[in-house]
Amino acid sequence: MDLHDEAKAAQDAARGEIQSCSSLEDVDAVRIKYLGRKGEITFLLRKLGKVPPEQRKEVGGLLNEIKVEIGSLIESRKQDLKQQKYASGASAEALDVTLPGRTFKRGRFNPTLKMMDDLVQIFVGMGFSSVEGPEIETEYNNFDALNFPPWHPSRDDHDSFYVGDGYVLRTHTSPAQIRVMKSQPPPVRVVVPGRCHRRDTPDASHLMSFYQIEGLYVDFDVSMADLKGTLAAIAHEIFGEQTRIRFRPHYFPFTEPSTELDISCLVCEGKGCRLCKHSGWLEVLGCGMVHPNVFEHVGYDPRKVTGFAFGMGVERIATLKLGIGDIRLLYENDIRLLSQF
Amino acid sequence: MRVPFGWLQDFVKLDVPPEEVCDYLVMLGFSDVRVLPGEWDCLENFITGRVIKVEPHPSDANLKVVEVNVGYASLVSVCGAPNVNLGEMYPVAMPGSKLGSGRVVETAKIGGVESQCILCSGWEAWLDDEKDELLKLDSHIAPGTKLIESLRLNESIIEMDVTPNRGDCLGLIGIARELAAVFGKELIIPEPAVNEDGPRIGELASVEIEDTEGCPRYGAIVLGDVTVRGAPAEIRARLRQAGLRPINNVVDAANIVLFETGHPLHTFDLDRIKDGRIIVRRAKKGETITAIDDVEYRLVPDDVVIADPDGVVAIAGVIGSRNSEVGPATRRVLIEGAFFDHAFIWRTAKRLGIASEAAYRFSRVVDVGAVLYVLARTASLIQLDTKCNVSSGMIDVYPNPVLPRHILANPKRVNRLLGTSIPEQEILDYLERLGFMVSPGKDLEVVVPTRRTDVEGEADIAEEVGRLYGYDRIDLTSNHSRDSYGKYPDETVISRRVRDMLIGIGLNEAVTDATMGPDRIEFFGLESPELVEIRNAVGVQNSITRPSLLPGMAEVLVKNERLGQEDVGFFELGRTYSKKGEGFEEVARLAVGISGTSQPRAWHAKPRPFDFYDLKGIIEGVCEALGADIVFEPGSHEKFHAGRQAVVNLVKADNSSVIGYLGELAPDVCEVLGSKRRLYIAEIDFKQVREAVRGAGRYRSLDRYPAVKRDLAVTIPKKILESQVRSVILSNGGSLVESVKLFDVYEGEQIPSGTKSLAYAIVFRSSERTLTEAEIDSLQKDMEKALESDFGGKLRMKS
Repeated sequence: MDLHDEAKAAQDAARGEIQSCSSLEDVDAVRIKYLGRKGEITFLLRKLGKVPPEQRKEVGGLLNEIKVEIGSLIESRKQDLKQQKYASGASAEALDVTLPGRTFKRGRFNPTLKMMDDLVQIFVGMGFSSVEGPEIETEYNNFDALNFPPWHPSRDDHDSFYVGDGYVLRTHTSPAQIRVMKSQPPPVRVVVPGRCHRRDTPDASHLMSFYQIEGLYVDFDVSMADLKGTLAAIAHEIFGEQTRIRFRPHYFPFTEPSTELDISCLVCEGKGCRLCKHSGWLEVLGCGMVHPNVFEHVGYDPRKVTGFAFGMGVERIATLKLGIGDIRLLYENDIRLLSQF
Repeated sequence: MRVPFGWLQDFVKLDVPPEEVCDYLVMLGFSDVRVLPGEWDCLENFITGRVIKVEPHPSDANLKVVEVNVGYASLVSVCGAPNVNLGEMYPVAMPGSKLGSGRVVETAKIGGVESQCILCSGWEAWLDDEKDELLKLDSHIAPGTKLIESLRLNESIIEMDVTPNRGDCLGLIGIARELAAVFGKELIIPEPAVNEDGPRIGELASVEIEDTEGCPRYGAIVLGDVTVRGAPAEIRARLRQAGLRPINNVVDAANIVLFETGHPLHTFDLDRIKDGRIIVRRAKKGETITAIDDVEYRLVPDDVVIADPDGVVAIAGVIGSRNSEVGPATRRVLIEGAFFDHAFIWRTAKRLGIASEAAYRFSRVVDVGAVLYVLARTASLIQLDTKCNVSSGMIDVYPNPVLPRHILANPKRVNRLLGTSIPEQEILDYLERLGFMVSPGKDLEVVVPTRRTDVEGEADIAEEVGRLYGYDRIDLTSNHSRDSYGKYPDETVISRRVRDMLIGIGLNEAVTDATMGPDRIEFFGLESPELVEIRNAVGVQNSITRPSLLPGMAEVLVKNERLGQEDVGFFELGRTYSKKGEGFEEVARLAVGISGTSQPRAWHAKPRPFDFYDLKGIIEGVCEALGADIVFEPGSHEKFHAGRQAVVNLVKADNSSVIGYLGELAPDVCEVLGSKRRLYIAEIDFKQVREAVRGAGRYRSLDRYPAVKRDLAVTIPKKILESQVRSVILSNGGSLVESVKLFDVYEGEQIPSGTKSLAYAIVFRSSERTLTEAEIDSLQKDMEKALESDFGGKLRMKS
């Protein structure tokens, strides 16, 4: 057998052996067997010198071809085997990705306080600063300075809680208006969120304690059109752009003119249903132009400044938005209920 | 306020349907305006019938056999009423209908005569309490007409709320005036036509006002030869539409005028007023009156009363008495038309719990100028009905006549306030339509009618103009971006951060009652002279403003436990209240409460109950995040487990103060609360924590010298606190100790009983150089020695 035939035979043998390798170690053994320092192909290449010069080129070419081929077969077999090993490893390590993840606990805000945060944020974005006031207020700030006449029913001890001579649990956050205006010159632009107290018998729409947001904007040229523009923007922000709104005249001691803001019913969209008592409208907040007497009480000149004030019950808005029929549910502190929101 | 639509049209002719009128009323400022559903389904099978034949009953002398024409037929009715008259018209109830007496009409033989229908009294026709006489109807109506049509009971009724400032709209004329103004229609006010054919009033009665504060004006007129009987059916029907109960023709006439004008009147039987002398005065202490509701009321000197020389005959503006009321025997009637101070009436009515139509209206201010009109109008209605005589002249005691208010209103300022540009002429027109007299000028001079006590200044004028112009026509503008940006107070920002954080670790936000009862106070040991008591609490359970969030939090935990919640975690950030000096103090507090399972059963972890250290970690975490330094030491709160509670101290630059406590509620407390679990609650003064908040520190270089880490485990007597061991380590390590972390606590067989082992990982680092092993060894030696000498600590392991 001449060198040519030996080369061919080695080629055939190597091809077969590479194909039957089942591990990277096998492949490495084949590589050493044929291409290693003492490998068969290496051995044949060394014998090339003994080949007659006229055949040397042809046999040399053949041997080199075979060497390259075996090298590449080995490489490709290696890759195949790596791939196989990875694949079988992955399936052995496979997880049930549908098992539930490790949860982290998440608590819930009280829905009223969450709503109050959201509302105040809208006002702050419009340039109103948030301020707080005491819940135990002077009768003067809670009533007199807000133009409540001495005989006004809400001063009655059937309606307000008294805690000492001249002190009352504030029945609205409006007295903070007085505190703010007394502490600074106009312009004033504030909202006052906070807890208020009235001597109501708790039912589906009344509580002895509730939250209110009072707003006040006083400047040298504020009009009712500004009031409408501002509160319409707020109503749309809270209830959505599609909500229709209306302002209708009303009465509050501390504003004149006074108005109430209604929105089209969230349930029936104005067609009339139980929620809106078949009127198509839901009352949302009270507002109006600050009464000149209130300005007098805080030392502002009512001929120079004008302003608007508004007050909204946070529970009212929360129950409307969340579809809660009974205001008392907001303060049940029941995890089952809180978890819904 | 009920507004019968047909009756309203007596005063303004409207050409739009009631539903549409409602929309206008809403935009005029009335609330909850709606058309009521029909209220007279009960009269569905009642028709009018004319008596065409009356014969005696063959077997019963008390009965008559009556033939009635009901339009489509003649029917026979067996009837026992005394006033069945030939040719008269009466209500006829057809078989199947239910009478006001409760009886159901059916065809039946009575004494051998078949009765096919029933002729009705007012009671049987659901109208009033008249049981004996048949209800006589207007004989011009066609027989067979439905009763509700003949009495106009089918007319719509609008119901609405009138705001407290608009007493003038508690009568139909007031409402008609508003609608006339908005529609540009004429207001029709009936002109009273009285024939003053009786004696001079001065010969019949006299009036003295002793209390002009409570009664600024008192007028009276006297009627003679009065026949008191049931009012005509149409009047009774009208009163029913108004929501009032018919009584007799005199009282009903006064009520008709009340309902038209909003001005209450009262009628007295003059012969039961001693000497015809009316005295308006304050009640004497202990004076009593038996009112027409048969209740005896005890009066106080704050009550204004109408009296005669013998005693009280009425509580002014609230209710009359039995001893002076007009009844069937009455021949002479004194009609009172007065103006009482609204605050007096309101207080008296409220104190006595009397909700009369009169008190309601006087409380909201009636028109002091209307007194003579309402007297004449009432007299004219009664005279028309009974042909009585009317005194010549009226009494009018009015010592300090009220002058109409004059207001200067500048059209420019009115427009500026409204944000409108309504022409001056239009403003003037709106005001005149509402009955204001206006003189033009740079400022309009507006004369306000006495009925509009609510209109006091230019702003009120602007409101009137705005209402008629239409609030919906005012533009929507805003200038809210001008020279102002909104801010939150620091307190809100910090509270919000903490709330977010607590929500983030799984706690829920609680809002509990701001008040509690003395039993709670006592149970939780909260008695203190600083408690703020509510003087007029609704019940004792809500009589004290809360001094602590603890009771509320305990209740929330127990409640959710009862509801079957395994994992209960809440916080509340709310105010507590106390007296302070002359005034009061409100402090923001943070309460945290946990109970049940911290780690619920899950495929990846073992369940673990909440414990003390979960709670402590929350408080530590909050304070750490805010940059407030706190330390804990064992506490002695009675309501907490003696060995499982701590006092929280806030460490400030120069001192430290107690800001709260935390721990496990004592087992007996849990038992009383109805809990089967261990309840962990913390409460801290959040105001102090907030004030201690530090801003972000300055940057410290990260490029530092290497750290040396050592572990140290020491066995010490059990009673030694970890904080003591830690402070020994820190004080011996000096400034080179970067951190000390406790990583193991062991008690058990491997160490002597009565001891525990604490294992620490200590990191040493210098900011100036690389530390040598030798100096750390020496430091650690010092620590070990100190631990041994201070606590008898034995070294267990070091590395």
